[in-house]
Parts: sequence; structure tokens; C-alpha cells
Amino acid sequence: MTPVILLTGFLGSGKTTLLSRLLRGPDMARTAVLINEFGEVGLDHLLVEHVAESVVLLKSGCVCCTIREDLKATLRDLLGRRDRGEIPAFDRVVIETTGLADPGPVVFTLLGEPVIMHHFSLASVVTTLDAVNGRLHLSQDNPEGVRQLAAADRVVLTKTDLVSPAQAAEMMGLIAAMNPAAWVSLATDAPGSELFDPVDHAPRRRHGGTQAYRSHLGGGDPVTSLSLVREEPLDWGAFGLWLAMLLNRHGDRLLRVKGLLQVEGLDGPVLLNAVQHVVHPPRHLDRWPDEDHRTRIVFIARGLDLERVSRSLAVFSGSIEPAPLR
Amino acid sequence: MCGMCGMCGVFLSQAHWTDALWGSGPEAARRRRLERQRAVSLANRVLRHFDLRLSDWNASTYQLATRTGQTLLLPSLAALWPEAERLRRRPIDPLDEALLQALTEAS
Repeated sequence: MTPVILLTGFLGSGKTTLLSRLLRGPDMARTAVLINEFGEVGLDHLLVEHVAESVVLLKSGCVCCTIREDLKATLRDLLGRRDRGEIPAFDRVVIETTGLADPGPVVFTLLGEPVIMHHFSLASVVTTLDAVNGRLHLSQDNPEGVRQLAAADRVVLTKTDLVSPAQAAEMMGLIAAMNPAAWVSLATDAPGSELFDPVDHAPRRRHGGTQAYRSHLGGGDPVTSLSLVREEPLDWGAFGLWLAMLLNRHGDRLLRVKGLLQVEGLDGPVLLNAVQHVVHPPRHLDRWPDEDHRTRIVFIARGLDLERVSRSLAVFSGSIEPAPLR
Repeated sequence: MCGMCGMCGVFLSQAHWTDALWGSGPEAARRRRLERQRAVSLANRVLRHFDLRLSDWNASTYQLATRTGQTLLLPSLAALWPEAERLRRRPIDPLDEALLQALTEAS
């Protein structure tokens, strides 16, 4: 399986600048890059493909369940040409989306398109956020900006040289409040190709709690995040039932669910990841990334009372006790 | 095994995402069968509050039925909650306080 990194971020947030710098590194040589627009990225030795944006809404599907036909065709073509030896072999693919792209359909295409899902795996979502205009990009007028940040496994804060250290710190705090599951770095710290390494670790926050972010621009529902920490192991059946019910009824308001779960009867943790309401196949990992073996889940939502979500999970986990396995 | 949309259950796979955990091989197949039985049992603890009952047909299909005998066949649990809501013509909300109270009292 070839890992795919989805690079997203609002218009002008520095995606292309970051990508151009990263691609100059020697360990990025075997990287295929799919971009929406040819620009400053093009480097001669790299494989760069253009993706013209088009989406097809599946019959009866919800908004995020669209197959990006352009992406599907491009990835399939890339695969075919690599297999025929027409292009250099590559070890990873980076997809740079347009600034206005909703990451949901891209994730859906990678996880659900029958050919693509057997050859490519979504390794991580990297989102750039502009320290100067970040608040504007996360306003009610720009729902894509919020979705891009919520979908992130890693966030790179850009243009910090144009703001004061206090303003940069404030943006870091905002990112941590809105997406406690993400790893955050500064573009000025020159992160290398490790930025594109798969992300298998737990949410960073080690304590529970709910945080709310309300845009300064306009009204609308606030974006809230809940970091949930649970000492007792989860029953996978009861948890799956509960999350399926929650996504069915409130999926349009859940922007992200990410966690590392301690599941009854399993030694290692289970990595859970849902972007909007598209659920990645959960993965049972061999070992915990650290000594903390508690369940840690982050929920990011817009207009949903996450305290009620927490209470509901407690009831479902406690009240719905299945018969023991035999 | 692939992911799925938890909201509309569309596309991706006939399997439910919870099934992805058990991998492949004989032991995984055994575990999958057991978990399938558990899933039906667990779902019924919720569904009974809506006068619905789920049953497993030969470990291949699910049958969702009302008390009055109206039934639906489901290829996987991915379609369970949307179809249950359609049969009952009302939302089945895990955040509903009355449902949470009923589940707590029933335990």
C-alpha cells in the first residue's frame, strides 16, 4: 500500500510554499505529487500531476460522500503507469488540495473507491494555517477552513514571522482548542519529511474536558472539541453501536472523531479516526505509543453539545453490557 | 476492509466499520461470528425501546422487524439505524435523555 498524505489549508495559507520546500529534501525524491494547479511547486525530478477538480455526488449520498472523480482517475492512472514502468517508482503520494476544498470527499475517495483503497492508504492529513489570517479562515464565512483544521492530523502554522510571538502563541492555543488531536508545528521550525510520516499516535491532550471556539465574525453555532479520557476498557460492540447511532443522527455536525481506544480482550490499542462522518477502518496496533494505556478520544463538532455526547457514551458503555465471550 | 460513511451508510463496503478490527484467518472468523451475535444482542437492547427487533439470518443477512410484522432485510449493520428510523418514522437519537434514562433503568 502506498501512503497518501493529504495537504490542505485555506487559500493563501502557505501550502505550496511548504510543499516546495519539503520536496527539495533528498528523502522526498520518490514522492508523487498531485496538485490542483500548477504553480511554483514544479521541480524537474519530481512526478507532478495536475488534478482538475470535479466531484460527483453519489445517489442518495450525503454531502461528504462524493467521489472525487478527478482524483480517482488520476490515482488510477498513476498506478497504471507505475506498473507499466512508464513513470519512476514512487513510495508516497502527496495530494495538495485547493484552498477551498472540503477534505471529506477526498478522504471518502481514498477510503471507498474500490481500486484505490487496495493500493493507497491515507497516512495523514496535514493542514496549513496562516498565523496572520487564521482567524478569518476559521470564521463562519469559511466553513471549509474549519473542516480542514478539524480533519488535520498535523497542523503547520505558517507566516509566524509576520506576527508577534504573543499572536503566534494565541493561534497555537486556538488550534489546540479546536483540534486537540492534532500535532502542531511552526513552518519556521522547518519541519522535514517527517511531517508526512503516518500518524498513529494518541491525541496529545492527556486530560479530559470540553473547549469551545466561537468565531468573532458572524453568529452561528460554535465549534467545540471534547477530549475524553476513560480509565475502563471499552466494549467494542457497545462502542461501535453507540458511535454508529451518533454518526447516523448527528453526523452532519461532527467534524472529527479521533482516538486511541483500550478495548476489552485486545492487548494493543485500537486507532479510531473519522473525518466528518466517514469512518476509517479501525486499526488494532501492536503496542501503545507510550505508557498511558487509557482510552483517549477527541470529538470536534459544530453545534452539538459534546457534554451530552460524553454522558451518552457513559450510559451506553455502562448500561449495555453484553454477554461475555465464550 | 474499507471505511464507510456513518451517516448514510453509503458505498464503501457491505461490511460495517466495526467489523474491520478482526483481520483475517480462522481465529478472526470465529471472533467475527461471536461479535456478530453480540452486535445483534446489543442492538436489540436499544431497539426494543422503539418496538423493533433485529435478528440474524444464517450469519449473512439481518432482519429488522416491527411488532406488527413489517420487516426489512439488511445486508449489513451499516443500514441499521437509518432503516430503523424509517420504519418507526421518528429519530433514534443516542443523546435523547428519555432513551438514556430507559437504558439506565433497564440495566
